[in-house]
Amino acid sequence: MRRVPWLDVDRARLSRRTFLRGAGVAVALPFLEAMWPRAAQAQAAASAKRFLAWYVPNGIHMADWTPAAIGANYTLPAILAPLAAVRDDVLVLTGLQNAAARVVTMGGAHARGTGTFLTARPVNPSGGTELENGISIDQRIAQVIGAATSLPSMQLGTEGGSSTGSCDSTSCAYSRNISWAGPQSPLAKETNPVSAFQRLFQGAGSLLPPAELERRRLLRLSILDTVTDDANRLVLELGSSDRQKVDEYLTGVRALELRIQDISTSQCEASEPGAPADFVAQLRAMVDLMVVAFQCDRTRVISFMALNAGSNRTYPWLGILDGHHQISHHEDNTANFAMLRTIDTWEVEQFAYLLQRLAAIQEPGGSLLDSSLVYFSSEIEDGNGHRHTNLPILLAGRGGGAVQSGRHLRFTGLPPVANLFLTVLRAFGINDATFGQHGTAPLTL
Amino acid sequence: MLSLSRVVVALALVAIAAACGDSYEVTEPTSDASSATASTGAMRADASTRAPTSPIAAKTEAEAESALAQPSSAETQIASAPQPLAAPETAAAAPIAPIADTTIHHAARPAVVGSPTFTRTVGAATIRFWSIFEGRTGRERFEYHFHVTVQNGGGGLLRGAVMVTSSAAASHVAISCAPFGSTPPGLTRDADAPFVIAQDRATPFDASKLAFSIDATPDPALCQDPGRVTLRRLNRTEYDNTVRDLLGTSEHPALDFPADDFGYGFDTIGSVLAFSPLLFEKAEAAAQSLVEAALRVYPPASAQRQQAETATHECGGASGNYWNLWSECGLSVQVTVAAPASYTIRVRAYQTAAGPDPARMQIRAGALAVGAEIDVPAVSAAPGIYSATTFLDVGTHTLHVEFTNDYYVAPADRNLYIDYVELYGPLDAVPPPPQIAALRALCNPAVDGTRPCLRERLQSFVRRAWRRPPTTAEIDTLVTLAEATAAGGVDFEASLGSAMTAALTSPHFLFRVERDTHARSAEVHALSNHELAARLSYFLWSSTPDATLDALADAGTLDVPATLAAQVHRMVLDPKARAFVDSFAGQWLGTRSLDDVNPDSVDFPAWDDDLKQAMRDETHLVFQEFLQTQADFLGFFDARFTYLNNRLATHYGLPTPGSTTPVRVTLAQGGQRAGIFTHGSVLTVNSQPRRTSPVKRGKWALDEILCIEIQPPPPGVEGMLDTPGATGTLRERLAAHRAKPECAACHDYLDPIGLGLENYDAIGAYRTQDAGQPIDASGAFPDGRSFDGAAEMAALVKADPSTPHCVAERLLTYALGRGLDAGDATHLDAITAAFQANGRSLEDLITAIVQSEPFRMRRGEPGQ
Repeated sequence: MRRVPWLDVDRARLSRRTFLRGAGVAVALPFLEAMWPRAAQAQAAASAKRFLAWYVPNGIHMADWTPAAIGANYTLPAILAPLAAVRDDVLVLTGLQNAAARVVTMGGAHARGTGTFLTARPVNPSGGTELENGISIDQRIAQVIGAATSLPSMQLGTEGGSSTGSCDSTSCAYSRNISWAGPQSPLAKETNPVSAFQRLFQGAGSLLPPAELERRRLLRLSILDTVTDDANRLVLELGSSDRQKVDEYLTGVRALELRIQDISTSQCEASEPGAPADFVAQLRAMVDLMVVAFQCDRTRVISFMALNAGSNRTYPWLGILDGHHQISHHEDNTANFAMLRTIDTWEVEQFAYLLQRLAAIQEPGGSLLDSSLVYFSSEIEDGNGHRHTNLPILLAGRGGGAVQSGRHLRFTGLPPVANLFLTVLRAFGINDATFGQHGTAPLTL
Repeated sequence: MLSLSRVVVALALVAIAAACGDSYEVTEPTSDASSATASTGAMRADASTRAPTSPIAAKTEAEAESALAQPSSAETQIASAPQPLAAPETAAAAPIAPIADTTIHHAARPAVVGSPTFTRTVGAATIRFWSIFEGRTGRERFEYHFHVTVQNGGGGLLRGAVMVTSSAAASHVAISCAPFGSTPPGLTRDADAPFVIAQDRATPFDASKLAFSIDATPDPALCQDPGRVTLRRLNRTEYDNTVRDLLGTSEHPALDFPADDFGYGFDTIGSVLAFSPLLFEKAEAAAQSLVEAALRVYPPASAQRQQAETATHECGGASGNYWNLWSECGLSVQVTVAAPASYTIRVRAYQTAAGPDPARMQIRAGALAVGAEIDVPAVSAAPGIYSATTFLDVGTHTLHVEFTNDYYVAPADRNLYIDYVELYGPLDAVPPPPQIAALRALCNPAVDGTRPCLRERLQSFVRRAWRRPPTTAEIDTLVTLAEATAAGGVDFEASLGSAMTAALTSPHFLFRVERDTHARSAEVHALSNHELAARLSYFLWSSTPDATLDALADAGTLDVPATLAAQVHRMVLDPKARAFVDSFAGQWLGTRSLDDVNPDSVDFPAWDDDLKQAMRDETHLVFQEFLQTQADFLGFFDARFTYLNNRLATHYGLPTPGSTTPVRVTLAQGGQRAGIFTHGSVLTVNSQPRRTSPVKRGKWALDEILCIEIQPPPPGVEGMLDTPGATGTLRERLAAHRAKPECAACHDYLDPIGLGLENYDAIGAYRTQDAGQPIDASGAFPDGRSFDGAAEMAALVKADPSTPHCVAERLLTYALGRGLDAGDATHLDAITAAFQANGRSLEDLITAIVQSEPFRMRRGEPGQ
């Protein structure tokens, strides 16, 4: 049984303690289905495509990442070895650059690489005090396919962010968010798997009688109407930057309104995660959550920050007691290389677990992985040089047949990653002519 | 003396930026590291040939090649006929080249370097423009930052302000106005506000488009720019504190909100605090939950008893008034709970004994076991009542009783007989918080009427929730909502609750709304008293105004300077000021980051949560003492007192005070500890997991104490120090690092402060050796001021004139919730002067900020 988050988040927290022992037991949950016509729903189930972006910090030790051979018959280097079971479902792409991060506008290489990670647009180009970025690829995709699901997209991570200071000499917004709805709208991420689960399956498992649930549902809609009127009146009195903030608020109101209006139900097997004991468990719970979100068709677009930009986390369970960021300034030292290889391999292991789980879930047209495109990369290539060229990139899944997988492709002339994003957009039927600052032509894969 | 000035550092950065090609549209080195290194060296040499006496000279390679560049002009004297005072001056001026864009300074203090960029004569006065290094640029926009001096060449006293306006508004905007005070003949005065001229990057700056005037009797309004704070939402801390004060809750719902993003070092910055859909969902949920909990009425404890015969059975059969569970299975009953609380589940039962053990049963609520299995030794002659207690939420629950150890070896047959299952509770009813009791005391719907009572309670609640009196129309809307809810069949309290929930979901609650006097006009205006009360309250309490502030705001008397000063005094002494310590000091000094650091447990076995908390307490209590006494705040840097508990005293190698809670202790003259630089908190959060980081420690002090901003290293030149197997002390490794010119430019500033703190290890314990070598804690600033050890270093920082100015800058940024810009320089100088005028107490500084124009006023914003 689960608590419904909107009824009482505090009691929900209290209940979680009580229910901890029961956590992990799979239960069939009725949940609210997205609001779209039944015919479209049936069609969507057959042709649904998913996008997931996975971010890791501090770059990758490329010597142990880059396959020597090009094409299908390459040997997996040490860091990519965990992908063995799914290598036919993965493209290894080398030689691409994040051109937008190389335009030095503000902040350090981590902040720029992260701010531009999915937007491919230089951040804060005018150097003003307002945030400045562009729409991220996941949000562009969500604009088109997001209406089909209860949550148009979901942003997940493992850390909210350090508690003080600036992040790489600029606003922390660029280091903690990779999904941007618009130039000034970073989309905050959920870092608690229990809260994220409850949000994903809101309304499910309530202890309240149906009539009371329905009364509350209608009340919530009335309240949203009231505050929408408040906001609309307020907007009339505000200047443009203040209005931008209220517009963000109204976007949130409308998104929630759509979710509450939806009264259709369906069944899906989902088990609520327990409160994770440590980072490893937290990350694993987040991966499980992503899988269930796709499997239950709660959302089709997810971005995930395995950690925030420039993370200085230690990895004691891997025997690494120095901070990752610190080690990533490796000074070409072999001992540092060994530690980076260990961390990077662990990161790929986590990613491989996601791919294996997606590959194991069959839908009518193939596996969940077949219907998805899953992008993996980092904010920089190499931690010592802080380069944004030759990024470590994996593109997993087939996007419903749009991508021929299982190869290593090496690009010359440093094409911008924005061109790869155009290719990804094509897989979702989005024929934008450009993306970001430098994306002008889809990359042929 | 003050070589630690922003300008000098900026120049150094020009050199390094040019050296590394780190500038506009110059991209980073590619993967080919060798070519990057080569070009770095070559460009460094190139840059060094241009002595950066003027920032203008410090163009980058990209700009030199760019078609945008104009001939560099270190000094462009403009010959111009004497003009009558206050008349615009429009003589032709040569365009000057764009300035290299590298650093971003916030409210950098104007300073004069090299030769003036150009000079104008207005009447008897000569105005000199000095470009200071402030190019904050991007693709579309470009800014020149000028500082102006006015020389009085006339016969009488010149007093007034210099104003610059543009005759080419399309390309030149943001021209400002600066007072220069009283200037006797022959003397030169600073017009102490930088002039920021922003324009399209593609257009060379053309001074001929500027018009100059000197206003001998300036209208203060002409020079007034209090700045503008972007509409601020409550951050997580503020949300939790606000609902605590409004509803009396002890919950922290915002813990589940997404993390707040930071800008300018703080989580109070309006422009950076985005309002994501996720946040709205959380806030909507929190509002319902909070109001439901606040208004909840706990029924008196009572019993719901259900006979076993009428339960749902998995096995067994009726046996008189009992149900006989004759194999391992159970029965279940449904109960409904109206209030979330602990309840006791009682089961009356007996067994028929057989085998070695008594019968056992397990009670469950839903799928969860309530307590352990229970032995049922009672027999039919004297059935027992067995119970277990658990927390149950509102709603319908299924209670199971299960027989778990069936025994049958004929004829011996152990069975469990159940009489009834009873739920008793709630056991722990929570009384309504005082805020809700006060709301209920306002009126009685049965006596005063439903609608009048709804109005009265909502008027009172919304007044506090929205930090201003609501309009009649706003209350009408909420009353309508409540009455519609009541029509759905809920009681008065629940209908009131729906309107209260709406009030807490409204933008008027979630944002701190400040209205412009004329919508979408840039007019400068004073805040309303209610808006001012909110600014004051969120500044010092991170929460909503209390009854006293509300009353002053309602009376319209809060904005009297003496009243503001009295309120500041009252507020810093209030326990709620702890929020200011946690939020401002926690971010300024980094104590909040104690939760983020991971000192290595092998190297630092002493590190644990108790030590972490003791460190946090120490810094916060010392800061709080400075906040609540009138002590000279610069004493913070060498204070010979602190707050220690036994744990931290042991860690520091000091005598234990005999207390597990922190107590104030006096530190010995010439001892190992004095002032903030020797606090374990600051030392730990600015270290690496396994070693100290003089660079992080130095960067923190430069950023936060001296306001010298060091930009991140250009691409390709970062890294160092942690090469495994590297020999030598950290000091030696840093020295080798600084031997590289591209590193020295910044690290000559970054390293000395940290090196002075090398006697303190990565968790702040005192040490005399590093890598087997004695610690050398001496150092020198680039201007030659040298020191040996933390105390001497701290004394230099304390004496540096940048320090009080910087403290004021950080505090003003926090208080306003926006980054400072050139327009704030005058205000900041005035605040700093007021801070230093008397005893230099933190309260004086806070008062000066609260009384300043940027705090009390705002500029409007033209709409579109």
